[in-house]
Amino acid sequence: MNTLSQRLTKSDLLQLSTLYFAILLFSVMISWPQGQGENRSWFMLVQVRIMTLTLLGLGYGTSEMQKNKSEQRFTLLALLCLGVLSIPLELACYAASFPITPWWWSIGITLLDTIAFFGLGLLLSKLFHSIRLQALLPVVNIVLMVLLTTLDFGTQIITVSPLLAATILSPVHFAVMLGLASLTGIWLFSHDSKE
Amino acid sequence: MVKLVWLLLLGLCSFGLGQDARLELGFRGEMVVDHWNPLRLIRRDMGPATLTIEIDQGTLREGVVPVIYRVKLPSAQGLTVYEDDIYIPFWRSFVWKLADENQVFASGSFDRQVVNTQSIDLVISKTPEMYLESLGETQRIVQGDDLLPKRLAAYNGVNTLLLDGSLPMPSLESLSSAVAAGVNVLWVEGPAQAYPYDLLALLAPYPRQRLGAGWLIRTAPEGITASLALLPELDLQSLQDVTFSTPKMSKSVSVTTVLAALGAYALLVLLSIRLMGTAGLATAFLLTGLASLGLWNWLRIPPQHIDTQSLYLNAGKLAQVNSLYQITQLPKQLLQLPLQAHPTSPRAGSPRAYSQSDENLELNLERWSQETLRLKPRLSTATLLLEGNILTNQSNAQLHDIYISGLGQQKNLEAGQSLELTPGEETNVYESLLPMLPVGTVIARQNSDWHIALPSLDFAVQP
Repeated sequence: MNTLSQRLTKSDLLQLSTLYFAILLFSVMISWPQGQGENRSWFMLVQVRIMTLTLLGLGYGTSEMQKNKSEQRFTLLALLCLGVLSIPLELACYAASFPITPWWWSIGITLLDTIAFFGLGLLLSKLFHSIRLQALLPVVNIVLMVLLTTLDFGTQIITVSPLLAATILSPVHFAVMLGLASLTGIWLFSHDSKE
Repeated sequence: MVKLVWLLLLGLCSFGLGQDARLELGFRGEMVVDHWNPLRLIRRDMGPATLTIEIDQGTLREGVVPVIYRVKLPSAQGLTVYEDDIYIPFWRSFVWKLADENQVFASGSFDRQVVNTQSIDLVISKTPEMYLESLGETQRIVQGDDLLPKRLAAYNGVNTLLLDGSLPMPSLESLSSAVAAGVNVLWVEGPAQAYPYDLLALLAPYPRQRLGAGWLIRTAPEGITASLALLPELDLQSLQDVTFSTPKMSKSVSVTTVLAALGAYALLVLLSIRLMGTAGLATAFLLTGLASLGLWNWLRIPPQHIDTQSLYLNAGKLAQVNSLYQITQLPKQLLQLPLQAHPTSPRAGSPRAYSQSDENLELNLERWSQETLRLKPRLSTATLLLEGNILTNQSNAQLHDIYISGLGQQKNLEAGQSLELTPGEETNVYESLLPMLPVGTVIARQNSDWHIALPSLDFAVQP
């Protein structure tokens, strides 16, 4: 708990946490209806939330490959903390929007996708380091997200895109992300030669 | 060979005398589209079966928009008649079938070319052609019989009902329902008179009297045109449009309030983490739980809201009741209501798919949708009785905001109580309603319901 708290108070994550909450509040501000009318705030907030967290997961995954596994674990835990701490915002919008998707789906899949994309970041980092193209990693993260979303739009099956999976219950996406998250877990808790 | 002949004969007999079914819609097959129409299914010696009517009210642009009427019928021993009323919208295709799990007993369809919205004039006479000129040659005249429906909704598309005594008299219940539905019932007195005078006098003792929303008139054959021309017009549809208010979506909490609450939460969480170390993280988690519960309870409004409004149109001792269900639905849901009704879409020109049985209505509602259902009109005893200058509240609750056109406001009236009409204060509470109603009409409210008592005698006839 102490280590986690220290990781969260480091300047990089503290600034990103502030930015993260600011983005969420901004999305509520622009999507909340004025007066009477349909409330669609949840649909926007949940997509912004999952995209921000998975991008943070992917970004930290690619940048933390050189660190030891304990540090990687606490960075991931810190990101998951951000996910948990922003649940009240999502529930507030859910309560007012009445979507058909169950409330537990978007909360659960956001946390699962964060773990999976952190692992994907680690994998990408290892790959790009081996071919000495690590400078391209920040761009690759964005391109990867766009590609995954395009793939799901093209196939009309929600498999790998967090953007689409946040609002529509998809067992296929859950299975894929559970597999990736499990591999990430195995990697993070396996023996580390650097420790 | 002999066996084969016997088998053939048996087969022919069973075909002629066995299972048989016939569906009749409207009066003598004449339907009035965009109205409730009577439905009659005649079956003979048949096991349990399901009657299914499928009406596609869509267009090329909208695709299929089905209205399904389905009713499960028990076994029919001998000749059995099933009767109900069905709302018939404009259709692109109209098919029906009577079937069980194994076979189709009967089926049929109606051509789009028979779609007609013009009200009909029913003539119960051996010689209906005699009245063509009196009723107007452009009218849609249908020869009826004494087996008229006893339900008010069946007469939704009927304008006039003429009886001259040359055919057996329909039941008093049928006539009461017809006249209360707004039909002008003309009893033509002439040489063919065969009806017991006292029976009709039970309904209306005066030669020209309003009952419910219609008139019962006794006239000579040569007086039909004049009698009809003298009747004051009452536009029931406009009356309902004015009295029934449009529902409003519930107002959301303002964006400023929500942002203030969520912003305060985010600030508290970030400060706890930054300033309080490990304890701060635990505090942040505690705040998360409390905020989740608090925000949910604050922002979660009831997912469904149903407003009901009724308009009781009284005259004499009868009333026509028109009711409206206004539903505000927040989550998407298949709605099942124990009533017979039809949706009237708020978006003009976009029909709604629904399914109706003899008891239930099923309707798929999208999230954040509003739907208005018009219930099948029904007959009731008068809730507001105006006799001479005595007004009696025959409903089961207090009537308030009582106003009499031409006389002014009256005091509130408790259930079962009467009051003597006296000139009262002129107000503009019912400003939009008064031009549609004759002088002497009583208008009263009972929460969201309206009670209107029309004067049962008009200026031309005084007792």
